[in-house]
Amino acid sequence: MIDFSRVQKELQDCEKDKDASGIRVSPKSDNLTRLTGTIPGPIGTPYEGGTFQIDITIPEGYPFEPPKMQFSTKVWHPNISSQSGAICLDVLKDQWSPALTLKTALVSIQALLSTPEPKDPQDAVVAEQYIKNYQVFVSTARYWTETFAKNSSLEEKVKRLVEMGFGDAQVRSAIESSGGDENLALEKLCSG
Amino acid sequence: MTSRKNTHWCNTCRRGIRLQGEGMRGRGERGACIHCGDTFLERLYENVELSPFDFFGLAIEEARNRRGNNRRSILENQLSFQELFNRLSAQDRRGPQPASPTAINSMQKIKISKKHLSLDPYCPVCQDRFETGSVARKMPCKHIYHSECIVPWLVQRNSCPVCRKELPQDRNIGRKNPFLYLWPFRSSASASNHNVSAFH
Repeated sequence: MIDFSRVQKELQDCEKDKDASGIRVSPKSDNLTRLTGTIPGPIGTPYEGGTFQIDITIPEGYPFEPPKMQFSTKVWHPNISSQSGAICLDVLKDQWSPALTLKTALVSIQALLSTPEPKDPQDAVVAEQYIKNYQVFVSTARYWTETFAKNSSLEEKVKRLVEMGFGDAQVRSAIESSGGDENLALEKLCSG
Repeated sequence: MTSRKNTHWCNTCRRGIRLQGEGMRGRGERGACIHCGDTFLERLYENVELSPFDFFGLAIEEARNRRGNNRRSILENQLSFQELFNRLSAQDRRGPQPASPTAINSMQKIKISKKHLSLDPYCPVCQDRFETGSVARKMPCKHIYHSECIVPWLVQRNSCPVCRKELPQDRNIGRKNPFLYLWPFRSSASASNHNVSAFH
C-alpha cells in the first residue's frame, strides 16, 4: 500500500522551499500516484538555464520501493536515454532507502546532470561522444538544453522552426494547435 | 584432522554444505541450508572433499566448473521455473540481503522520551512525529523508527535507511560452523558476510 500521507507531506515540504532549492513536485492526478518533478539545470554545466521535467510514478510499495522517475524533457546526457528519458541512477534502483524522498531523489538527479558517469551509461551513443569528443558532447548537450529545456517566447519558437525550413504561417498554426509545445509542433510539422 | 565431504551447494551463501541427519528432512523433501536456512540447494554428485585449509572454497568451485552443463540439480530439486526465476533475479540484486528474523526481533525496543524528541522528533520512514511514551525500535547505529516502519524494510534489506549500517548477523550461524575455531581472527558481529564465509 502506498503511504499517501507521506507523499502528501513530501509535497508540502517541497512547496515550502521551492524558491531556495528550485525543485518542484506537483501532482498530475488526484490520487498522487503520478507526479511531475521540475529541476533547474545546474550552473556551470551545459544544462544551465534549462528547466527539466521529470515524470514520477509512485509504486505500490512506496516508500519501501523507489519512485519511478524519467525525464519528459529531452536531455543529452550519458546516463539518461536521449530517446526515452530513462535514468541510470543507483538511488532509483538498488541504493534506494525509505529515508530518501522525492526531493532527495530529484536532488540526486540534479547532481547526476553535473557529474555524468560515462562508464556506466544509459545512452551508449552519448557516452561514447562524451569520452571521445567532449567538446562536441558539450555543444550538443547545450543545444538540446536550448531547444527542449527553455521556455522561449512565441517569436523565438517560430524563428527556430522557420530556420528548419517550414513556412511561417504553417509554423504558427502548428504551435497554436500544440498549445505552445515546440516539440509537439515540430512533430506535427514533420508528420503533416 | 579429517576432512568432511560436502553433499550440497547452497546457492544463497555460495558455499558447500553437508546435509545429513538432522539437516536432511525426509526423503523427497527439500533440505535447507544449515547456515542461511534457504532451500536453494544443489546436490553435489561427486562429493567434494572440503579441506580445512581450503579457505576460499576453491575445491567446490572447481568441482562445480568440472560438472559444467550437466547440472541436473535444479531439476532434481524440482524448482518451478517461476521459483527459479524469482530466486535468480533476487540474487542478482546488489546490496545487502534481508536481515535475519532473529536480528529483527532482538532489535532494541525503546520508550520515546523528551530527550529523543529533542534529537530527532520524526520517524525517517513515515516522517510522522514520534509521540512521547510510545514504543519505537532502535537500531545498533542508534537510529530510531516506528516498528511498523522499519520491520517491512529490514525484511527486504538489512540496511539502516538513514546510514545503511547493517543489523548484526545471526550469531548462531557461526556456532554451527565446525571450522569456526580455526579462524585466527575473532569476527565482529558487524563483519561482512564475505569474511565469515571465505573459509568454508
